[in-house]
Amino acid sequence: MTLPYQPADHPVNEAERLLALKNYEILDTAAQEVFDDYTWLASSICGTPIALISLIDMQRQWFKSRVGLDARETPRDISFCAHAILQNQVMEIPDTLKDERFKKNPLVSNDPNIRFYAGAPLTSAEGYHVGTLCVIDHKPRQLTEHQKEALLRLSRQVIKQMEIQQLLKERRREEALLEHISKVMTELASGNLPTDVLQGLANKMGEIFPDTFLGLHFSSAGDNSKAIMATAGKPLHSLGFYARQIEHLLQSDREKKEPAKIRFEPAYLPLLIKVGGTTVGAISIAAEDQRQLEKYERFLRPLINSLGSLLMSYQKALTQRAVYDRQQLQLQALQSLNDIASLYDLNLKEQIQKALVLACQYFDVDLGVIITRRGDTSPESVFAKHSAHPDKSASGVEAVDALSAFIAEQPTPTKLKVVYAESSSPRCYLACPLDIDDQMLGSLHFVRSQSPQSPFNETDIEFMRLFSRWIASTWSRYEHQQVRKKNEEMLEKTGKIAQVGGWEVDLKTQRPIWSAQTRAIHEVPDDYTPDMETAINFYAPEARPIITGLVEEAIKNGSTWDVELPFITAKNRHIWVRSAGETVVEAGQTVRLFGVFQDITRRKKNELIKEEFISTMNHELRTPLTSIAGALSMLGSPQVKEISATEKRLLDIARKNTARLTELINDLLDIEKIAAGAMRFQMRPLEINTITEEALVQQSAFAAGFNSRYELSPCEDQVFASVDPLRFTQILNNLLSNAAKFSPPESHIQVIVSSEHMIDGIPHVCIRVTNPGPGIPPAFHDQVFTRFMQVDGSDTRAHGGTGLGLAISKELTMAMQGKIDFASEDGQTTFTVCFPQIDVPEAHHERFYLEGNNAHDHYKPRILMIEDDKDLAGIVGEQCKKMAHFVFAGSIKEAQDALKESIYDLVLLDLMLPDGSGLKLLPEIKELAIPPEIVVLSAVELNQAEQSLVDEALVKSRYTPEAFVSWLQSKLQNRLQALNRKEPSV
Amino acid sequence: MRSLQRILHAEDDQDIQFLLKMTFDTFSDFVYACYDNGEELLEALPDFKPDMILLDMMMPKLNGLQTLAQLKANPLTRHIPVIFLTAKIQPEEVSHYELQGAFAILFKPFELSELPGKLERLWQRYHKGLPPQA
Repeated sequence: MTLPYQPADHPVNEAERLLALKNYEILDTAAQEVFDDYTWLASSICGTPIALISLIDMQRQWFKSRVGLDARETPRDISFCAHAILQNQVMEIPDTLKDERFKKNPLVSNDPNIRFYAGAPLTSAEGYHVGTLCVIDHKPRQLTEHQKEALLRLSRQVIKQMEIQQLLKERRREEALLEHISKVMTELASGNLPTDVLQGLANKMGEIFPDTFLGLHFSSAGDNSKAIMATAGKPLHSLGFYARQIEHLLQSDREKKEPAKIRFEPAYLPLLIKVGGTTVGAISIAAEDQRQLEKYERFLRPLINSLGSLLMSYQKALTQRAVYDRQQLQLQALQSLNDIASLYDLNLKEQIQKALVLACQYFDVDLGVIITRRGDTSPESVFAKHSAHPDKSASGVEAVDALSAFIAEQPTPTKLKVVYAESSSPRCYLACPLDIDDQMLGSLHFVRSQSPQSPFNETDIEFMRLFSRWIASTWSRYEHQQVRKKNEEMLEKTGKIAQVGGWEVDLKTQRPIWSAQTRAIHEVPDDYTPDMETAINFYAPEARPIITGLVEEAIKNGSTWDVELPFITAKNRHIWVRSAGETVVEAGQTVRLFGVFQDITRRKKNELIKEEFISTMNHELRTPLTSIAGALSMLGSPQVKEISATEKRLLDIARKNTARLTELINDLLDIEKIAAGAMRFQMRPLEINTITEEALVQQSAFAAGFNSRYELSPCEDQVFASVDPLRFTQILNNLLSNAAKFSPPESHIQVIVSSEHMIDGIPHVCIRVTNPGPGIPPAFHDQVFTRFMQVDGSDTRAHGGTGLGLAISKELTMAMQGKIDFASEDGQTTFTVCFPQIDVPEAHHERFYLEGNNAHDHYKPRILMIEDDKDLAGIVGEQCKKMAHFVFAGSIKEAQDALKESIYDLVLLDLMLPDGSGLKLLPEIKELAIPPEIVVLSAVELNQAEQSLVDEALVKSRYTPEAFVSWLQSKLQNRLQALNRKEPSV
Repeated sequence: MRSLQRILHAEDDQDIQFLLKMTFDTFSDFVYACYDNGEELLEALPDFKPDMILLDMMMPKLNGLQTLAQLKANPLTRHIPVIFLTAKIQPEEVSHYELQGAFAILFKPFELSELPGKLERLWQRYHKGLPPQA
């Protein structure tokens, strides 16, 4: 179809012209006064009703400003201006109807009925005619030269205004972008993730330049990551294109080559981000035309300049954070080790296994193995093993077997080592020896298949060191524990056989710990937890005060004990136990008690049976002897019957041998008792001069039989030893009678008491008995203390005696912690018996004299009678005054005063006192340095606990005053008797 | 103080009974009676009115200690000195007799001819409030 009018041709540079127009960003914008001013001026200067600023778009002309016209735009093909932009001068059409190009144009024939047109091109800085400033009239006319010039100049102002506005707009964008870039920098500097920040930046740029593409690439140090971290705008190329381009660029950069310059459509510009000459990233920008790209580059330059260092510092921060995180991980791992170590319900082997799992996780390895090495000869074996993939080989992870084999191939490490094996199967391997105190326990191995993504760093190595040390010490403890366990088991076993248990009490917790055997003796279950009180209550009631006293004493003074006591098990069996205790004293304070505990019921029963046997034997032998001796005695008595000399001789033989038999029975029973451990000693402090003198007096008649006599040289000072008086006298009698027997007649036998003999660093008191005589031949010196040994067997009858005396004396001496020895030189023999000296305060000396024949005349026991019944006190005092010194107290108060003033042997205690119960005094009396015997007089019977605190308790109603006096007299007599008991001679 | 005259004895051994009877008859003027056990002794006691009592330990029915306890429990007999003539002479046993109120213990076997003199001395000491020192 042929148009009735002629549309204008497109200029040769139409594409660029359109881009230039577009870049003004003025199309379809609102009217502006500044442009309206120009059209008003043009209309006014040229005297036309219509003036327009017309911009020629691809398909239309659009009016930025218009005077005298309503239309905002018209199609480009009927546009007069499309023609006008084809020339550089003002195009003037004086009468449209006379111009072939326009007379059929709808704008001529129809509204706005254009008859006159004149338009000046709007020429951009680059020379593109983007539109016109034109004037239009409804009648034909001609512009003056002056008017034409004015239109041209105005058109230049219009384009200039457009350019200014465009620049302003770009400046504003630039400012916005710069503002955003500075915000980006701040964000990067404060450590925000660059991906987020860069994406924000890209988004912003995309907003500003919607038709462009922006791609941010970032390459972190040492890692050639080509990833595009952020994109915005239209892709324009494929993302792979940008990645390839950057890779190519970075490659060239590394090789210091100038990259090949290729022009791309759409235009592409890579901007490298450098730090100190190293490329760390790049920004790809792409746009439709090169000019735009250059503009963007201008915008981005400040960002690029600072982005490098920002990204680097960010990278550094990231690395530091990684290190920090690693350290945290290490700390956590160590903490976990601690936690494992404190899991007491795990045994050490389980702890090691758990720690190994933890270390495998920490090192991110596939297999961890602990290998034992015992000595150089025995083969290595696996002590513990942990695999991260125990069941199947995960993708890319080698089978456990292969890794185990790899570890087995490695030489035993002598120090910590790290290996990165890069052969056919790449591996990471970390190993170190396990040693403690230079003792090689084994080695520790970790292996990871595949090359390290991040190799072991210093932190890891340090952790490995700590870990190996932890394992070594735990392992060492484990081994010790195994040994100890074995020992304990053995101890338990032997304890079981010997029926010996152990116990201990931490006095801070007050909680006793019993060994299995101790629990077995108590007959309590294995989980039984005793406390101090229940432990004591297992003893028989009569034994409780004893054990309580011993324990209290031990706590107070750090003393020890070893006693045999009756005991009642949890199953109510009555048994005998031996309890021995020792103390651990720290800073003068007893902190711990421990000891052994033994069931001695069987032994005790045997002892009792033996004692019973000895007692019975004694009786059964003595009874017939009594009759024999008695009968012989009567037969030999002249009052009964006159007998011949021969008969008398025969009777004497029978009598003498009866006496020997009696002596032999006495000695044998003593020996038997000692051997059975049934001999009981009642040790008490004794003044040795006195008791020796007493023995001398007793034996003097015996010596007189040999026409000999004893001469005593007592020790100058009083000297004390703790002995059983009966047994001590027995020893002395033996030595004295031997001396008399084995001396020539009419001998002087010297007896010397002396003190301060140091034996084993302890002062001893010694009694020496020296007699003249043939002495003991050296050949017999070894056997002097042997049973049935007399030097001359044929002498037995001559000297009398059983041959048991010295053996008994030695046993008795040793049982009382003494020593006995002899020295025999030509002409004399000396037997010496020594006992550890003890210190007795002078004030108490009197108490410890052994009463001699007349001793009671100058020594009387002191009795404190605490009794408010004056009548009773009077009667007792009067009746017993010959036997004792009495002190009376009528109240607790008086009693307390009296106790402070003097020492008493006996306290008679009435319970019903005016100021309270006499029981209140008991603790005080018990605490005295030398506690007296306590006898309680009470209206009612005491309970068991009270009874255990006193020596004797009398119920008043059963005793009249006379009966009480009689009781007390007999008690006092017995007391004296007990102090000085002698067997009547046969 | 009157002299020792009447002695009552409990002893189950017939030989010893015989020998003691013979001894006292031969060597002293004591009125002496002996019974087979403590029970019989206690029965005879009110009529016999002894100055001194001798006890064996091991006897049927009522042994020495049991007899002693009864003697001491009775205000009428408590004051009579009791002397044990026994072969049960372990120290524990002896101290037990003493605590129960026996005045003296003579251990079997003993020299018969010396017995009357010994008892006489014990009697003296008892009345002087002295211990039974031989």
